[in-house]
Amino acid sequence: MLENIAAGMDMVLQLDNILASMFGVTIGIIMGAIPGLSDITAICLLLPFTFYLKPIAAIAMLMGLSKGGNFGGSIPAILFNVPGTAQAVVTSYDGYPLTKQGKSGKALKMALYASTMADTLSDFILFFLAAPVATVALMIGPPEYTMLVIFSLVVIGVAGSENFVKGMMAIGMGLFLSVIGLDPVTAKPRFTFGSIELSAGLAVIPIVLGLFVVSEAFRQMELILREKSSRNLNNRYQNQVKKTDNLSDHRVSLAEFKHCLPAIFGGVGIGSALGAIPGIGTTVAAYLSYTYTKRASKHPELFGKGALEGVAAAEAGNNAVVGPNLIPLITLGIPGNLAAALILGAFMMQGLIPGPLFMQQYAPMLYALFTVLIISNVFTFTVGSLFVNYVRHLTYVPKRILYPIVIVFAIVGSYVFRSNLFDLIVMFTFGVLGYIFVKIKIPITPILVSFILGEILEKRMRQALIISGGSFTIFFTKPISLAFFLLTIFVVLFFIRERKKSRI
Amino acid sequence: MNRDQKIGIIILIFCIVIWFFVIPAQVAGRRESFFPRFTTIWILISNFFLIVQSWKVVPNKISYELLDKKTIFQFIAIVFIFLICILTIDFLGFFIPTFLFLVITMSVLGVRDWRVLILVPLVLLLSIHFLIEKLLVFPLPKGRIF
Repeated sequence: MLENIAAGMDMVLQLDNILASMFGVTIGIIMGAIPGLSDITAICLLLPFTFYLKPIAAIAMLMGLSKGGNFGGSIPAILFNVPGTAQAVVTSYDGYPLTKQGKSGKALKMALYASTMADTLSDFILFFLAAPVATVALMIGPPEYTMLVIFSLVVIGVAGSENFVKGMMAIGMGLFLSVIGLDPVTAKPRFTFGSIELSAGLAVIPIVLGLFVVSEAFRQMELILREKSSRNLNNRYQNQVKKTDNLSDHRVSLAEFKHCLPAIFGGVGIGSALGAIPGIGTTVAAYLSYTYTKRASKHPELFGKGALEGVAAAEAGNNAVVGPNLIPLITLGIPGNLAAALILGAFMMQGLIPGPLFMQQYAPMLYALFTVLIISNVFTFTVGSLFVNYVRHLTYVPKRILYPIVIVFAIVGSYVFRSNLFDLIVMFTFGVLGYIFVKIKIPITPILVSFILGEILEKRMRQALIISGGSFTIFFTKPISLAFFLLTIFVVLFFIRERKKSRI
Repeated sequence: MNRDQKIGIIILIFCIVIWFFVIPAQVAGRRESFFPRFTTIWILISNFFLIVQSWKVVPNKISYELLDKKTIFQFIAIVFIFLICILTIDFLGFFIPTFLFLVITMSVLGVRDWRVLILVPLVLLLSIHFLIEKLLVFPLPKGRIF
């Protein structure tokens, strides 16, 4: 193990990897800080370029983007009550009241400390748990793997959607898209309609850029037009950030940090536990961590009015998801959330297939990944500390100029990946579809995750059926497979019950 | 008929077309068509529950109240210009269509200062040219005419 750790560190500690990580963190913070853009936008836009980087540099840049963007999202949430990312909504509960009290610097610094500390602790959980989970993962065969993927997809569809039926429908759509191209076993064409471009199947990059970047740009441009038509185009952020001259209002004292430590550790526990389960995202972790800290606090009445613990809990909760989220990705090849799905896409583009055999074939790679995560945290802390006082200016970027530029970058990203103009059509089509899906409340994240997992699910399912001579009973007679089937039923019933309760 | 019922009917028609017409025409072999049929059944089952659910829970209407005819026209125009931009890249190359796309879209979105309308696309596309084509050596579409 020690030689693997040394080999992993040796792979990472090179100038290009470190620069890639620093670049990723910086761009991530900048894009996360601009309302309407996010860590996901940053990853989507830069994903095509990672194809041309070495594997470690590519992963370092993506992890940097993810971590930087995660923190960056909290900046507009704290300063203007405009969360840059979904998970930053919870940060704004107490962050914005602190800004109104003139303590924006304190809130931003606490967000930075809590997020980097929680992130680092959660990375250690990945470090210690990945190897044992991978050992267990080696024991599962095609039927068990099939049911595991179905379980993960169902959790992602049910937990990550406002309406679980639409989440399940989105999963079906993603799986359907994955069958376009050549059959993975017999290489016969399917749904190609005589097109050479479709024979290679749909590429991940244009779908990602269409669904997440172009559709978001369309939505934002629609909002701009609405505001324009209602003559309300005055800058939403024109109200200046209130600042006091008292220095202590802009730094976190040691006593305040110590006071917030239980909230941070609570957030790490909750975020890490949820992060290991595919589909339960950072937003849920931030919310539960916040609720837990509020309940445990001696002064719950201060929450929502500018409690520093509230900021720490929310940021710790959402950042603690990052490390454990990579456990199912590395050991089973199943991405826990959208960022992990995009990172899986990057792994696959580099010819690395995460899964049960990954630890055997590329053991130093895990430790390299771990080192990358720690380096990214160091950069998030240092770059974040430097940016905290200046990054607020980014939130003034006029959206009327920003979104057309974003679309041009989406065009560049779609093209450079394969130098294929057909990918631009795919990106446009998925941009329009993504816009429509968001309007009719069909979640788009499950579409992408199931699209990425579709091929592997089909292969394993067909392998299992070949083993059983075509009998589906193989999925219900193997103990682990049956356990995942029952777990899937349980999860669906659990969420139906919870939704009914919340409606009542 | 509410929104989800309409979605349900559209998806039902889509699944019927896929099952009875597209799969037989586009997928040769029983083994090859197994997974496409599996995914179609998955969508159909979800769709069944969506239709059942839509009788009980009426979804909120898509909010269009702020959209007057002019705004709808402007939004469709942006999407259309984007499509035209993509389709003309093959003939005109990357830079001319994207320059025009940026100028037109920004002006539709309300940018009135002509210096911004010219300078932003110019600086952006020059940066892309030097960064992507010169520094990173990624090819951008050249176009058949230019």
